[in-house]
Amino acid sequence: MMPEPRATRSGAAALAAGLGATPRADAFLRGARETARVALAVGAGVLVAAGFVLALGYDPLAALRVMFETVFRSWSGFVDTVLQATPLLLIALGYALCYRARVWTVGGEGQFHLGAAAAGLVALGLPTATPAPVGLTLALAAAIAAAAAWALVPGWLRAHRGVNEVVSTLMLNFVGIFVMSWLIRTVLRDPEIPLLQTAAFPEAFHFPVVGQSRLHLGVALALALVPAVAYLANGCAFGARAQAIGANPRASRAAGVDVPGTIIALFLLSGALAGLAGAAQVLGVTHRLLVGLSHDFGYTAVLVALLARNHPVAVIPAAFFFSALVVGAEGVQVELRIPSDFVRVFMGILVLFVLAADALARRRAP
Amino acid sequence: MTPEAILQLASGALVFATNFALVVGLAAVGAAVTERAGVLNLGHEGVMLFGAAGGFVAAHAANDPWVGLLGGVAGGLALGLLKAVWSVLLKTEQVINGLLLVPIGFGLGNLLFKHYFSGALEPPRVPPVAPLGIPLLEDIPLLGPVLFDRSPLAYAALALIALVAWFLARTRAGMTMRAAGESPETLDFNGIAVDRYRFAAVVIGTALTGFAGALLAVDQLHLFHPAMTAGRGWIAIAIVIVGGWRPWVCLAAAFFFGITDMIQFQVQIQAVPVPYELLLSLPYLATVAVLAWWHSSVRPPAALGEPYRR
Repeated sequence: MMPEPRATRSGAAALAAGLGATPRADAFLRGARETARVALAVGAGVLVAAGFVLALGYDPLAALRVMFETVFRSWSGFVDTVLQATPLLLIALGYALCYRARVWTVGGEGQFHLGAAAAGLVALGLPTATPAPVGLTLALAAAIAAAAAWALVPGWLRAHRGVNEVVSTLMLNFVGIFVMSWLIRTVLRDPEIPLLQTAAFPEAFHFPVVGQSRLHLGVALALALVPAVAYLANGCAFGARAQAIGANPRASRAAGVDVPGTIIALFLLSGALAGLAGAAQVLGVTHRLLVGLSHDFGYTAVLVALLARNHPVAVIPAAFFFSALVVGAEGVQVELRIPSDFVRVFMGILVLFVLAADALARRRAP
Repeated sequence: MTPEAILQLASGALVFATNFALVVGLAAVGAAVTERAGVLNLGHEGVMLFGAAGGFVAAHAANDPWVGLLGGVAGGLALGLLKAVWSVLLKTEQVINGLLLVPIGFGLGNLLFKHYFSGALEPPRVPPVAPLGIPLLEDIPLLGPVLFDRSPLAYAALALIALVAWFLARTRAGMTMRAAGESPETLDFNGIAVDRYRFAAVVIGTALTGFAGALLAVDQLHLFHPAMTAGRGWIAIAIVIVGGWRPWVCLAAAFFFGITDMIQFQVQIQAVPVPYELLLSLPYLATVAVLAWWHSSVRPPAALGEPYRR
């Protein structure tokens, strides 16, 4: 169990005691304190980034304003942000589950491409008259199966041969992207269509959208999965086992936890979620397979999970925040000619600051 | 094909493989030094790209390839300081703070390149460095052009690997550094500051990887491209394991991966009917396969990845 030393002496707990503390209220206050710490770290990161922008000879206030306007001034900017946040949310949910067990997969990029490719194969392979519910279900199932199978390779290697999962998942990311571009170039090639993309999917394989907007079924699916993943992480024995493995694998094994099995299950879950993200992107947004489908979703999602400190519910605001940064940075690049590469540095620094804030808090109350 | 043509083709292929081996081997040696001291740095891909950008811009600005190498080292040092503060001083999770160097290094490298060359109409290049032909030896068939007619920058990289191998194995500071990764408690018990040696090891490691990045951009490709490292920094981390944390063995392992890279390149230009995506995947698949089957007789440093707390 997680020790809670000094909890009774901390100011927040004393306050809770005064309010008639329950364990639930204590947990709430601890959550509030952690949220405040992350907010403080993000604020410090913004200041550092602003100084950096200034040092390069640009105007940080103008950049902030353009960023904000790109995302919030127009409905289409906001929808863009939600659409880009959706794959980040799905992939980061899987990462958050794994990272709690200190299983450091970064394989979302490859699994995303496998999921998209499988959905594309189904959408272009089945007859165009397939009823939409059947077609979409088959496409999603194929995507989940393909991506989970792709994740099984590094999962099995980690669980049974101790192969470093960061290196193996990264290597398979490169290969997964090649798998999709090979399919586009050969099996799914339509001579009528320009290179680097397939024909558009038939109507039956388009996700339904809300009214006239571009907000598709995948957005709702992603949000609906958050409580499910939160239950897996915090509400059941599986999540407790995963967390125990992260805290101390040797002790968990001694206590009878099936360590390899749990690790493989974590890989399969994260693969399935990333595959779903890939399918949602092609069925809901692009309606075809194309080279350059992912805007580094699998890598940005690593930062999203870390910013959310591996908490499934916190992944929602974290995914929206980083998506807003990416979408906003494109606006800034167009209007102010500040290269959008800036935003990658910024996101990395933000997470570094969150790590530092945690470390300093630990040092103050060991 | 005449025998001369075959020889020429073979030595060209070997030059290609050794180019790959030098860059990846040098980065692997950098990663090995860091890990020997007990710190895991997974950010070498980002460090290498930042080193490549820094090296290329410096070489272009000074019109001198040696200044380019210094630029690469400086880029590596900068990211190394960040990694060392977060790993050694703040003692945050080493897997994460290393991974974060990748977006930071890629972002900073591209920013630096675009900032320096903004407004350039065509992709900038730096001139190749004249090879340092060693008289007589360079005329040996096959091996002459591979071993004895390379650019002085390549020999500098080799010398650096030799220096690190000697430092780790033979000097007092090198042995202390290794002890920081094997048994930090013992060092601490003897009044030696563990964190100081670990800090130094992180920074030395990233400086070497920055050098490797500059070597790739300035000496081998003469250009900068945002995707030029193409996983070399990740393969370097795998090679450390395969090479059993020993510098010369790492270089040899890097040469093996260089061969897979050379095979994919040769098969592609010979237009053999194999999907080129499969060929491009070869080095990555080889990395996973080797990690899966490899059993090194050397085990990892005992305290690898664990921050030292008293």
